[in-house]
Amino acid sequence: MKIVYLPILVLALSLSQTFAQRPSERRTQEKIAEIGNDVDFNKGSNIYSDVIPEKWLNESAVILYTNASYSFLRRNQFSVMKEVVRKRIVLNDKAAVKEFSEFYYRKSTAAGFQIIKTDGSTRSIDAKEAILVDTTVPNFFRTSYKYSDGYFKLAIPGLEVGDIIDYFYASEDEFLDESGTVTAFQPFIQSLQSDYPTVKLDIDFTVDRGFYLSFNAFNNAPSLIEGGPGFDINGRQRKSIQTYSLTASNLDKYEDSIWDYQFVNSPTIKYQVYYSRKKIYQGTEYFVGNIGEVKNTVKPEEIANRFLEKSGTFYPHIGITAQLVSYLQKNFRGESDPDIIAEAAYYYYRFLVNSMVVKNNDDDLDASYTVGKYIFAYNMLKVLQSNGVEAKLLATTPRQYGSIEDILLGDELILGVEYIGKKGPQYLFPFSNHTSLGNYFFNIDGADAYVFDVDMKKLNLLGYQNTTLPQTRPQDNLYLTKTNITILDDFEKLDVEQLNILAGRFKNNYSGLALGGYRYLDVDREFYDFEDKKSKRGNKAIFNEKLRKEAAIDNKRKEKQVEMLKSRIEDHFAVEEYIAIELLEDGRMSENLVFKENFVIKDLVYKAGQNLIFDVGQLIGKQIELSDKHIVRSYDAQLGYSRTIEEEIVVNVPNGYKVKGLHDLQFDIDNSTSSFKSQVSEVDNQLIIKTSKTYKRNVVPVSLWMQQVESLEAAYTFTQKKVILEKI
Amino acid sequence: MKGIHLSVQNRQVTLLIYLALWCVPNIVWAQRVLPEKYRVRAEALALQYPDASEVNLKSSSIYSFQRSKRSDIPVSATQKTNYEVMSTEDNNAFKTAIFYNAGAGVNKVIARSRKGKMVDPRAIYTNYLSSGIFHDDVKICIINYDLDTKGETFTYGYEKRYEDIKFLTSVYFHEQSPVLEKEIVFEVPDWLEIDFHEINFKDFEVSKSKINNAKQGTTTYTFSAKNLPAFKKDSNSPGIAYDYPHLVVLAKGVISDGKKQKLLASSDDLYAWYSSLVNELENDNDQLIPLVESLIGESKSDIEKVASIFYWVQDNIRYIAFEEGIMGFKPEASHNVYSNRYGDCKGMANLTKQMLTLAGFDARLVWLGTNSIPYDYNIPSLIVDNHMICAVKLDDTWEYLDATETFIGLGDYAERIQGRQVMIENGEQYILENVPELDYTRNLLSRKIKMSIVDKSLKGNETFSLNGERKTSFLRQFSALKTNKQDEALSNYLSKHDKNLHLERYSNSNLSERSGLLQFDFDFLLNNQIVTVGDEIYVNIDRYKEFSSVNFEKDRTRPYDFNNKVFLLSETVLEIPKGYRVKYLPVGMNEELEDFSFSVNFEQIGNNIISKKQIAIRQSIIDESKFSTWNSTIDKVKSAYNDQIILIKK
Repeated sequence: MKIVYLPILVLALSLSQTFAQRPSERRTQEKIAEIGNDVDFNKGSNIYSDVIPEKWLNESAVILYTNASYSFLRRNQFSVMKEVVRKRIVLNDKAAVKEFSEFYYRKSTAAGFQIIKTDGSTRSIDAKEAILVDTTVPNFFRTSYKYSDGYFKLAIPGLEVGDIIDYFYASEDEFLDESGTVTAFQPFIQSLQSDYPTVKLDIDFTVDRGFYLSFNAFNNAPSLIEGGPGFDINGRQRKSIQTYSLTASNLDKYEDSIWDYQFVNSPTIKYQVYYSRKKIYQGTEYFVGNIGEVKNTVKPEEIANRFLEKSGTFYPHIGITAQLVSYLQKNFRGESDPDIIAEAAYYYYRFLVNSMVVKNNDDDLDASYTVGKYIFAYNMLKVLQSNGVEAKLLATTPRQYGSIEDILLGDELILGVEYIGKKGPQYLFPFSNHTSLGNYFFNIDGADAYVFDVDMKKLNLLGYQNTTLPQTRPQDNLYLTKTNITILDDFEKLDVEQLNILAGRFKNNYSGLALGGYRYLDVDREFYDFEDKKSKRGNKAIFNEKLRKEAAIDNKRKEKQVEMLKSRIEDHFAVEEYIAIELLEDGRMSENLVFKENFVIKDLVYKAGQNLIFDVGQLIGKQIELSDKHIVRSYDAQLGYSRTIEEEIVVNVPNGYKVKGLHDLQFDIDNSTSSFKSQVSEVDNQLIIKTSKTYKRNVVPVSLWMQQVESLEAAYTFTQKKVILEKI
Repeated sequence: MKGIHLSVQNRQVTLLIYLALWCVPNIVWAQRVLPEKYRVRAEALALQYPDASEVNLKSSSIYSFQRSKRSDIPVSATQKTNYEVMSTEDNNAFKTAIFYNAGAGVNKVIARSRKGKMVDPRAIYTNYLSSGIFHDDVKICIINYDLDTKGETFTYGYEKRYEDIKFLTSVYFHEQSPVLEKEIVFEVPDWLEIDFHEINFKDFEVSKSKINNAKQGTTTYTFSAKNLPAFKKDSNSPGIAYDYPHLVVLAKGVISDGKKQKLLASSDDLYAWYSSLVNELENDNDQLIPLVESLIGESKSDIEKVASIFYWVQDNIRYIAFEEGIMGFKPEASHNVYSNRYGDCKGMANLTKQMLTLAGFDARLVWLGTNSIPYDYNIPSLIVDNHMICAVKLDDTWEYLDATETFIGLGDYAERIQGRQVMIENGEQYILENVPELDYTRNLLSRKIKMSIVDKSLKGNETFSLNGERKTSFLRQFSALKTNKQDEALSNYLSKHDKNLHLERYSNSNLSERSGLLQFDFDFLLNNQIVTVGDEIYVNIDRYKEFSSVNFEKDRTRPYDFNNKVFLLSETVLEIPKGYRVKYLPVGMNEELEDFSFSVNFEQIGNNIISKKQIAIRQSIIDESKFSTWNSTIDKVKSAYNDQIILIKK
């Protein structure tokens, strides 16, 4: 099972109530034995078939049946969550036999195994030989709920091609309720497709009184159907316990492809279960439905109300709000330009947070872990509105999870601020250590959103409307390199001086790397005239020792930075030596991140008689190599963001040589999705190469994919071109 | 099902935490300054050992020996090890690992600060995953200590107890970090007969002393060495036992009540112990009989019968190794391996032996050390072997059957066991033999390519065959692929993932057949290999360029292990297009050395250019003394590979 963490979890901390009460350890072993008894391999033999559909006979393995049951029941003051998963898999080849011969299942679960041989005989497998391991567990074996407390590894004996392995695991966890809070169980966004095709899949939920189920199905995944009354913890059927189920069948395996959003393409379900004795969740980030109902949508008003309710609980952060307001009053009194006010507030807010959480300019600590989305929106709205800027709350979700109208889970939500600048609506979102104004998460580029008109004084919702976040243009996300190359005397190595100019999303991607060992906190302190009084206290020897250690840390970071930069160059070239990096513009408050590098590469120039043959095409770095299976595409290509990559390369031709064979290096592909253009010339004994590669869309529909392929193939073909340096 | 886990956020920033963070926005440094002399010494050490973060100023291990209370184990051993560590850099998060296992446990881990105060070594005890082993009892104790300042020192130590002296096998001098003063001390009681076998001591400066302590009834053996660099981690180097100095501890006997009791005095004793474990086996072979009968048939020759059984075990028993405690030495019973369909080398060897015995052959278990260790049975120690196979007598000759090597044919031997000394069971005695050593020609890759220039591309046909280790390695990897991925994998293999090469047709020999050559034949169109300038065509006809990137770093000090010997013969024929003649042919190269040779030649014969390439690496390990020669050879090889044929219009 592929685990994908939501980028928003990294980028925006939610300060929500938690469900993470530790489960009671008591009775664990007895419970494991007890819940194991609930599983009967003979149960349900009439609801699955062991016949492999003909179209899947060549698959390595086929999942004949999966049944995942999740029950949420009450036992006294505890919530009891029970998970029982059964899978029945036929192994069609040796690879599958090998994979399932070494089986993993989670600690604290009951597990049972049986093998059905090709002659129909059944062998049960004793799990007592299982070994507790703390190694990485293959994705397929990871459990859904609770996956991090260790796994058992079991060698399954006697497996052969054609066997069916039928297994289950079952676990039960208790959670003591705290009055006045919501217990929120693990949220999921889950594709119904697996690494192997599935003949039939059942998912069941049993939900006791007091539990709330949120669930929705997307991309033709089957809907949840309500069943009859369920059974309580003691096995008694009760009308107050509701059951739900879904059945899916004939699910092909999902094969990842380049630039793919699986949850937009594949049958997908989202769900989360909550428990609350009283429906008290105002301080939380959860969207909880009503008793007896399955919640399947989150209305815009709910988002606004959740924000307003939470805003009433932000007294711990009044300090930051006050400092922001005070900073603007002191430095921007009377300022009417909304862009200047927004910029000042944003960067000062970033400085305050960095000062709190970042230790000695250490990028390992990310400010975004401290700036929650609700807090950020609250502070920025407060400050902007109090300074007369028209500012609204904005809610959106990353495009890989679908539309804002499809959100169901609190963690899917991204909050920001829309303010009206001089050039129209502008957008602010929680920052990381170096994020510059307007340079927000790429995965909401062009996403649809709600804009809420809120009065931050009265904490009232005045109205809302749907909107779409702007899609950045190719020229907004620019990676430009200006490179000067000298062929060294041995005619084997090239000295490369490269100026890197990055803007937009590229800047976000490279800031951490380019700013290694850079004392950006000191730069900010100086910018804000912030005196670090504490550091100047104490005796001189201690102070000097502190400086020496800081310098040692910086040196280590610079060494690490050089290693990483060298490694990045090695992705494209055979590197003889990485000589230096120089940071020219940090891009933290400006448009561009600019740094210069000097390195020596080899294996691009070879002798051909008295002439030289030069792999000049490779100077633009490795390009995407599409294989045949990439070229045939079933789903839209999600390129993330539109972008431009430009190269300006000057090669100093060695004295006594002239360049021949430039005619093959001229490319001019330009279509509605992308372009790749090159101009190559020789001027004054310099070989001048200019290339430009543009992705014009952040999403390329399948119907236009071949246009994108055309540009990608052209760029790859360019890299294969060579010229001759002919001895004069 | 594929899913994602949206972890619930559980950070609740309270007013208190907020204020604490805000009030202490800056780094709080330890309020102390280390005396200058420490820093000065650390800086000198940093110059001497630039790659190290810390240096062991002193390291000592004292081994003492005790009579065991267990009747089956005469002697135990205790190792007390101490280190004094100096950090040679600031902000050093010192971390080191102590290995231990079920037979040699670690305890009494302590640490003291520079001033002698007891500090927490933050010891973490965890499992260690040995490569390729499903489960064993190897564990590590990780010690963590923050050395904030360059020159800061601390000491740590631990006690390791070997329940049975025979598991105390070897002691090394070098450590993960450099050591200025190293001392290894053995306090040997008079009742214990012990030898220390010195390995790799040539050119190693070590002082030795032997002091008899009559009063204590002991003799103290001390080995001291100075200024030892850290173990070097060079990629693809052979095991450290090959080149690092160490002592093999040979506990030969114990005197009890005036009588001498043998421990591992000779390989006879080693064999006796191994044999005793094998004799404990209760193989229930009844269920094997129908299988064996079906495999050997009635009309097969002996060789065919042996092959049938050997191949059945290879094909049907998966290698899954359990190496915990005594199971690291004792085979699993044959019926268990058979019904489990898995086993480790010992279990697979035992099953092979039992099946062959049922078939009427003289089959034996065989102990040996693979080529990852340098010892032979002149040393009576558990350290000398790490593998078990089966031997069967055919025409008065021992054939060695290693069923863990899938797809290997009868009479063929994997590189790792070739030439290795083996101990073959033989009742009360044993037989010492050697697995035959096969020369480099066993691993022949033979290739023939014919091509011509068609529309700025090279169009042609290639055939090649693999044998030996190349063949078994391919078959093993290919058979492990999912069936529906095999075509794509084969296509990628033939094209070498080169987007420029389009396969137009291919065929191959049976990809599950272990006998004979593994053969491939394909037609291709190869783009982007030709540059046309005016009347001239530049063409490079070598798309393989074998070994061109294998260049040894100047600071490499340890041998390089190719894992296999290499033999390659290749012939490429390029048809000269009509209307063109050869303007320039690459000069080629030829370098013939004792351990390896390369030759790349070009010649024009009629209307064809023929390039012949021959590569032979006759020993799988290249010694560091030959790195320089290797590098200069590879430079010449690269030049030959990259040189272009130039054709010109007539």
